[in-house]
Amino acid sequence: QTTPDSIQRQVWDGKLPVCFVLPEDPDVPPLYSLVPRVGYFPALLDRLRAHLSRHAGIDEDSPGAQQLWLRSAGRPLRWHLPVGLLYDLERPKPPPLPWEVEIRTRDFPTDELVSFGPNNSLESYFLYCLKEADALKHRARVINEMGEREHRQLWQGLLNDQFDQFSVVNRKLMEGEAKYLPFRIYQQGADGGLSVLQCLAKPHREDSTPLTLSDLLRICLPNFTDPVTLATHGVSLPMETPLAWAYDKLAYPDNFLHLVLQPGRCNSAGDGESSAMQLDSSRILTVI
Amino acid sequence: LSGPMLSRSAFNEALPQLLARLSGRLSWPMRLATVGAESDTPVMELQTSFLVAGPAADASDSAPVLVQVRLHIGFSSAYACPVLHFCLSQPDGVPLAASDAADFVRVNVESSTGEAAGQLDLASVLSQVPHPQLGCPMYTLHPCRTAELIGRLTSASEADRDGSGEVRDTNAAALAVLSWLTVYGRAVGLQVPQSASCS
Repeated sequence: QTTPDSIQRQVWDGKLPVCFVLPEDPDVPPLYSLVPRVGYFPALLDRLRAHLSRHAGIDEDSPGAQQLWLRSAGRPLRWHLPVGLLYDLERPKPPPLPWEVEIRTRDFPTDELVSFGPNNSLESYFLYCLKEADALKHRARVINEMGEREHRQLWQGLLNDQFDQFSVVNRKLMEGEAKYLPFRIYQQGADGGLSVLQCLAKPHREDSTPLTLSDLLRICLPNFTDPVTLATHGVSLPMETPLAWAYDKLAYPDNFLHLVLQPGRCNSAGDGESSAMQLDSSRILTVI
Repeated sequence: LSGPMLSRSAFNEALPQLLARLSGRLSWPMRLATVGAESDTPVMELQTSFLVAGPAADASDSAPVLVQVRLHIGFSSAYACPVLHFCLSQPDGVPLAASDAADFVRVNVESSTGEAAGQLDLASVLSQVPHPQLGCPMYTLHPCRTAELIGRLTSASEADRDGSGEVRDTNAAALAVLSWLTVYGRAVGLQVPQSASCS
């Protein structure tokens, strides 16, 4: 059961202070926002358009506003990925907070970024992810048995930051025996390229002991020998952590455990330097 | 789930036969590509590109609208079934606007199935997503119902002769994928000739 101070609740409540700027027009004031780590940037598009309309004279229906996209450290933000994962992927290390993100109104990179809008909604993409996760766990039986009303409730719960509304339905997806556990391992290259690893992983080894993150790495990267760490939500995980435990406690609302591969060994105390889950409140000037 | 499951290795083994069956009958460029790896198993696709008539822009247009379809036929391990990823553009390479892409698929589906306009909830099965290995944005049809269909197709063709629950017969796997493609390919204007399933 999820209590207010449970790990799942803390994961849900994690937020990042973000500062949206418009380099095309430096006179436009930045928009500050506390963005949920488990949420998605395209959910903020309406607010960003409203801000541009109010301060930059860019009409919300104009091509610029409609073709809006986001950049960080000179690269398009792959906004189909959750906000927290994008932050944790930034190289060479997560940027100082508040995270400065650029708004762009020209040259939408059609060959790199998924376009979200009335004909391709973020909600439908979220459901696509949930379906795939349930296909891995339960051959999609649970998600298919749910009606549209429950699918909507999952999305609305996430969109409106309503943990209880979300959890009461999500519990059905997270309980019971899973055939394979939904996870992805991400590695950001120095050139900005992102490699994504996914494979079929059962919760247990052949001898019925729990499958660990070490085992997982050996399955996904059979010939890899360098010391590495797997991290999620800004926290490095010990390699002996059972995958099933990590999945149960740390999966994102899309029902995937998103793991970031980092070079080097994990300290058993975790990454004490990470400021990812802490707010630096002295730097937040205005929250709109 | 009825019928034996298709695996990625069975799909990979069936691809050369699928390529042979199609390239003899369709005049478009077609190739097998390895786009990544899943543990020890290569992730392979059959990739092709073709021009088809698009939905009419409006009644007064006399010139046919052409759409360039770039189609990747791959495999989803999560659903244990084949999956389509595709890009739609004007012949000059400019990607179709999202609304035009949705119209293109809708018109193709409706003309194949005869379903009345408005009854098909396209949004729940058509999404633009990042390609799982290549990362670039492509359209896909959610495979949620496909696994059932493949199960029935492979059952019908006795693909699971050793009772293992997995398709082992390459010929049966190729025919199952071909039958699936005959159905799902219509969404992007692909007409698979019947002769492709003959020996």
